[in-house]
Amino acid sequence: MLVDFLKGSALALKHMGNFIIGKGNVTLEYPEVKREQPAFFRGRHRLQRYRDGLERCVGCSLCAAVCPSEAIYLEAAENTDENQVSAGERYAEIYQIHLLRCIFCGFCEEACPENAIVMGASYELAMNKRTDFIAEKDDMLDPAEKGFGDYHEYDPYISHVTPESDKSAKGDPWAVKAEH
Amino acid sequence: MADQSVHPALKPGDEEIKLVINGKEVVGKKGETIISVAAREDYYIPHYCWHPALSVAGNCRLCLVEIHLPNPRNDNKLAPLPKPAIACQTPITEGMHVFTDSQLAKECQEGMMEFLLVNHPLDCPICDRGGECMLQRYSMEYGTPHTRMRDPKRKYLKPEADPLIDIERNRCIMCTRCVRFCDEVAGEHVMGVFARGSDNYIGTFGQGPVANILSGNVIDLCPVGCLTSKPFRFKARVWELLQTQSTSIWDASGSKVTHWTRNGRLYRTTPPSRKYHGVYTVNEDTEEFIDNITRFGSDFPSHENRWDESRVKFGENLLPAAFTEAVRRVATGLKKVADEHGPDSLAILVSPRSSMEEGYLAQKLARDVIGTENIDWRVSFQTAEAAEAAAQAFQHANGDLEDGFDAVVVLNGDYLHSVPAFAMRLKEHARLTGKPIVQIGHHHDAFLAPHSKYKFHCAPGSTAKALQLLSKGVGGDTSVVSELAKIFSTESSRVEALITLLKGVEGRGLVLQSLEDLNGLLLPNEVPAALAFVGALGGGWKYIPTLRDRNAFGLHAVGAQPKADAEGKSVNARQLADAIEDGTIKGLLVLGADALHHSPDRERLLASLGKLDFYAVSDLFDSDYTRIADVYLAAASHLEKDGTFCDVEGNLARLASTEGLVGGARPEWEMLTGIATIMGSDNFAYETVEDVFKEMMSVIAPDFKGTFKKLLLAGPRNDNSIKDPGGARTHTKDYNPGDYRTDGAHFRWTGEPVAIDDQTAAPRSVPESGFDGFLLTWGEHVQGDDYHLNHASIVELLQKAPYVELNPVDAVKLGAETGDRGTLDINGESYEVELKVCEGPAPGVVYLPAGLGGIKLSGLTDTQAVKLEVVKSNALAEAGAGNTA
Repeated sequence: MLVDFLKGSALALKHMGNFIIGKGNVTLEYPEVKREQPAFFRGRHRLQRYRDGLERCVGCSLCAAVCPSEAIYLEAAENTDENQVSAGERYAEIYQIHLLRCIFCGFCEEACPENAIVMGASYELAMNKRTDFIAEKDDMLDPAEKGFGDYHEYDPYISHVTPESDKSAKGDPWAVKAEH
Repeated sequence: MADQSVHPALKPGDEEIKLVINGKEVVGKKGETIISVAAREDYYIPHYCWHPALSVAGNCRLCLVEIHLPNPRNDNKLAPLPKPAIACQTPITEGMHVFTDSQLAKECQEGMMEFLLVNHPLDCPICDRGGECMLQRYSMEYGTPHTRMRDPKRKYLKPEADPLIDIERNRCIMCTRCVRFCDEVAGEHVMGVFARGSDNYIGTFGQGPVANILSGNVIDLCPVGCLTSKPFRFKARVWELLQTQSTSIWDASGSKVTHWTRNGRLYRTTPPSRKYHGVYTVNEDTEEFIDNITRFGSDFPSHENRWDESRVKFGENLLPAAFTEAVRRVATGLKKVADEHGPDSLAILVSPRSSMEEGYLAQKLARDVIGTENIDWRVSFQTAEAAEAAAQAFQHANGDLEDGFDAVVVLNGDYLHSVPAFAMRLKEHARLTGKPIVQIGHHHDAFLAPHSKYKFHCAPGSTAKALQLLSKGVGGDTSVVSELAKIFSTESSRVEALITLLKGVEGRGLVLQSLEDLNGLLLPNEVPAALAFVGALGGGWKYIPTLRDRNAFGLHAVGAQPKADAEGKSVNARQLADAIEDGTIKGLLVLGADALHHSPDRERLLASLGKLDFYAVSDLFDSDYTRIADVYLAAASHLEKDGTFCDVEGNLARLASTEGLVGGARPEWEMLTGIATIMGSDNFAYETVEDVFKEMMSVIAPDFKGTFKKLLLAGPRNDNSIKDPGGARTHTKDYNPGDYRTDGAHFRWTGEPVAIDDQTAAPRSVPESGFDGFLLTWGEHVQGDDYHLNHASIVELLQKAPYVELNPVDAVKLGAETGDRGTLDINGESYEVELKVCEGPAPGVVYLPAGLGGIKLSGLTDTQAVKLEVVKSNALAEAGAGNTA
């Protein structure tokens, strides 16, 4: 009987110790700490850039065509020498995704011939107004102010790709693959 | 009834050839190629360079097929040809076996696709052709999924040649469809293939534009993304757009079009899309060509000056009002004027671009409700007599190009720039069948000239006399030959040859006359002369008058002009300004302000509108004509309403609404119905425009077999396949001519012979000899000043700079060449114009397209003398160089 009591106490003490040293916790201090998502997670969309800051999206509308819930609207325009936005001749002047319509199926990511649109890891999709659910191009576009190498820390939507885990691949993971 | 003994694909008299395609026995006629027989039998052979409307080039090699032929040296046993042959150039022979999908044919197609993709960039996501591209489709259906190409692809610099057509040479596969189109159909050798071997590229001579009114069609003809539309560039992808089959409001040839819209905005206008492989597309093998104005100018309803709310005058201001309130104001306003001054103090002016239903309701409102004959659409004529002559011409119109012809007499006119698609069809027919065109008059169509067998120039004013003498000559009077030779300044033998030719036509002949006011002061003489000429030629001859106004024939048919017996008692469009100024007309209703804008004396008419007691206008835009109105009714544009239009050949076409009404705009038939009902009529109880159509057709053409809905699908009207009238057609399944043709309708051929007296035919006075200037003729140009075109988004690219046409004889005297600049003095005013040397005008005559560059032509006499001075282009260049230095 005493043995059983000691066994039980040891288990309780072990968990208490683990809790104190922070080992094996399941709950997180959300929102200060965010859960890392697996690489295949289909969260909020991102529009990627090339290493030199040009947008990957050429405004071909294939994502809009494949979208089963018709959540994507875009209008293209032509690049000029003064205003070079994307790497091709055309770029998306208006790019909107209606996040209330979106079912996060990832077809847009698959259809994209330029790997411009990808499903990010952000699952924080609560808004105050219905109109805020229409994500504009600037809401989704990766920031360009800092160079490509360390832009991840500026990306509020990415948690599964950290700068540490991306150290080997300098720059755009897709671009690096293509080069080799 | 078709002859039962002849195969349906053939005409009586064709030599029949039997062959086997993919195991099926088929019949073709001698001289046909494998690809056209296969297309008729629904065996699709992939092709790029072959096009049914163009000559065979045989340079893409994609249509290679396997052929087995009976070998006469081996007991006629089948033996394969040693090499595959191209189906587009190989004529069919008796007993031939063709395999379009054998192992060999498939290997050939795969190989050719791989060759074509060696240098073709894979930028489909960027390319505007994506989604309607033949290369894209073929590489899925006939190509291989991988490439063996490792070397860098060929790259060209991008030329800035044409303001409307984008040329991306990297994507070109050298099918030369555009080059052949410009040479053969558009009639101008402006595009070509440059360099050799793998450095081949497509371009324009001297990097110049493809400056032709039909040039936009090379965009549809291009099977890849080399030639794309600049105004449509990157605006939208084709699969996102809603397609609506409709008709052009510019081209009185009756061109059918497809409007491509999204979210209420017009993105592009193309020839009608047809179903190919389950998808509606326009790109492939379309034989229906449209003019650039229809293609690029149709987006005017989205102009920033659009007023899509009705407005009524409140004090000094025109304030937005509900549609019902505006209609009530119009009805009460008209009623008040009628009560005070009598019904004949009211007038209704209808735009020549109104639909037939609108014209019908307008005349019904005028005659049945108001009780006046003061209704007219004929605004663009110089004189009231010319308008009367046009009415007479319409009354005798009975021809249709679709029936084909054995000879055609073309009288004065610039047909290409007034009815472009009609002129193109006529020229294609003559070019492909070799039937003779004869041009008679003081101005010839330069576009038709290369295919005209006889061209007889005469002085302005002598055309009527020449036709009268020709009528006598055809009747057997040989004494007229010498006089005709004098009028035409030619040898008697040529005149005799002409008379022999005209007398020798046993089948169908055609006389074309432009009512385009080409020095329209002469129309009262020339129309009776032409009608008498048609009568003298005999029963096989038909007559087609042409006019730029899109629905002129339709409005004439519904009676939207004063009746012939009401002349003198009514006010027509040409007398309107006078009648307003002397107080006869107190109230005016205008349907479409372009009716006022296209009047030759529009400044005077505009000034006189202020004297009216009541002036209501239905229109689209905030303009000089609408701002001064008592009531402005916001009208639906051609993209927003339904209706019926009639072309110069008397065939009907449907205008169809694309995405419904915009703002508070309403179609004009609703306005007229509302106005008539409020004014107390019970006969305007129409639910839809189709009700109006049914009532209208029961009045004007009780025998008409088509329906309002069928009209939408009816006919390719601008189809080049009429080059083989009565023969095999590719579109036969789609429509039935009875759905749109109005043969036998009683508004057409009256059948009464027209006689012409010597006084009418007498030549007009010509300035004394010793006069060192030129005689001026002029005509409306479809690319000139136009109320609707002025509101198009790229109007500056569509309107032409002023130019004059000059005979080569005069050009030699002046030392002028095409492209030189000149100054033209008309009535003391000097205008700078470009010179175009062509076989259009007679010697001593210059032809000025009216409306270009704001040149005013009101107040001219029928033999107007002008001075033309030439400024050599190199002199200008030197002056320019001096300035820059």
